[in-house]
Amino acid sequence: MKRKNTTVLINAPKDNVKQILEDVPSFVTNWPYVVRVSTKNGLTAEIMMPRFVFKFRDIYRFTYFADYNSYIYEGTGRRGNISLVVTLKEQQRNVNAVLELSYRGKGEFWLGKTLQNFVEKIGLVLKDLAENKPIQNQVQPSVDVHGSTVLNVDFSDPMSVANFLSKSRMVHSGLHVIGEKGLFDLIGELRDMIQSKILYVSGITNDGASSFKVLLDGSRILAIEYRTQESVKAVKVEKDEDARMAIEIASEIKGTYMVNVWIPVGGV
Amino acid sequence: MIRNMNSYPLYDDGEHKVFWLGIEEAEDEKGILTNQYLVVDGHQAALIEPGGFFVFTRVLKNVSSIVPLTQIKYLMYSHQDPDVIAGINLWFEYAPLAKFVISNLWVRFIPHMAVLSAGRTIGIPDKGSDFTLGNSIIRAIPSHYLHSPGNFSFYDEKSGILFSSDIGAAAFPEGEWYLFVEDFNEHASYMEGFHKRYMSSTKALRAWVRKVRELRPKVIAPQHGAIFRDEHVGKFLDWLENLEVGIDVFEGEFYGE
Repeated sequence: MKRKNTTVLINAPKDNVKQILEDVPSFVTNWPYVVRVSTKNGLTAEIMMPRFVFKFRDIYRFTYFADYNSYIYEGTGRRGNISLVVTLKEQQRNVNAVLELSYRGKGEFWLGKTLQNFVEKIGLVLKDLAENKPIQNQVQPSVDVHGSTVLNVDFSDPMSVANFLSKSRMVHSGLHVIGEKGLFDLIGELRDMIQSKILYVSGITNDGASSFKVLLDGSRILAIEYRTQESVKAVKVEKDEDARMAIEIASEIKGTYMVNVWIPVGGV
Repeated sequence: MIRNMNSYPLYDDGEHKVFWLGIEEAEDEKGILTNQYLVVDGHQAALIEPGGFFVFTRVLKNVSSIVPLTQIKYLMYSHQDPDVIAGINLWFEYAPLAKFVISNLWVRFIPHMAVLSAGRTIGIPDKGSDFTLGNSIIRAIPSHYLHSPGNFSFYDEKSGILFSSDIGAAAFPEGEWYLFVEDFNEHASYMEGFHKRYMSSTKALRAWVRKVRELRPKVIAPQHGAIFRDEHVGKFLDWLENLEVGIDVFEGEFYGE
């Protein structure tokens, strides 16, 4: 029998992690290289690695056991048996999950590296699923632009941006040259054209090497991101210090950018 | 509810790669799950059928784990259905250098998605056209009336994968999902209802099959359902060739004999 293990630190409450582990069909479906799942007569899942990576393929019938902090998934296949044990150790603000994957069967002597890779990927999947709620749960049901869930944009969280854009309309697109500390001049020009207190302005250089995104409420920066080949600077303004940092970032932006401007219009 | 957040490599020769980008079922989709695909050649990428709002997080995460988003050269849309195109405003921002590729018929509708698309949209003429991606070519193959009047499949010459839009779509029974077709007859029973009702014209279907046979694809990857490869490519084309669809089936039922 070959055994491999990994440990992942999950930045989520233990209940979130348990919820993922206890939804066995969903968890197993998200193991790497799972290409078939059926819950018709118990849970079966086919694991098949791409032909050009490694020849490994079997259909496993899974049984599941759990006690207060361990979760065991045993898969019986035609060519071998696979077993995953996940043990959770709750810490103050996060959870440590120890995963041990074992395999007994055809080709087990060749599978050491593959198995290690496999258990690490399962660990990452568990972390991802536990730390991220499904998109459906992230969608805010209503838009009160001035209220305002839609303005809760943090450029380090793509879904907050997606949430804003899904309720917005693009009102301008064009090439602009931004001089030294010239972003506010551009914003002034845009304000002359566009009658909206809230503006989302993004820009990217022709070669993609530099880009920015800024969300404004009047003259106030709510959030900003500036990407160059060397670094990514982003801030969501919540206190005075953030506001100062946002202005510093804004003043660094210069060059020729394709600029898009969006304004919130509501919608579900 | 089926939800697979992982991508799966379909082709990789070191320089040219193709990925399937995961799947998830929204409550109302009734087993008709949408597939998205990424083709990468060197430092350029094409996202095929980017999808709507509800799949955006997964697709974004998987794409950005494979290539920087600024390397996306094309966002390729087979037709104008919401499950294909509804995320266009999000991709407008997240793939800022990408061009939108869609049938000429639908170009004038894109502003209704609240984006100013002039300069970033490439309308595909009815007869199709070729798109260069790195050192490879993706061909837009006419698939009109299957089901949209302005519809294209996309053929990636290097991998031999044909992205067939809604042609080959299947609705899985509850609790079932698979990425590759293994039992063609069983799978055909999941495809039949969709094709009969959603595809418009038997004549169009047969013309498409004729064209696709010339291409000799190794793999056919639809926007819904499972992927055909090996002997199932031929079985699928034979099945389509013998299928009556659309108005040829429903004329009497809808309009009276």
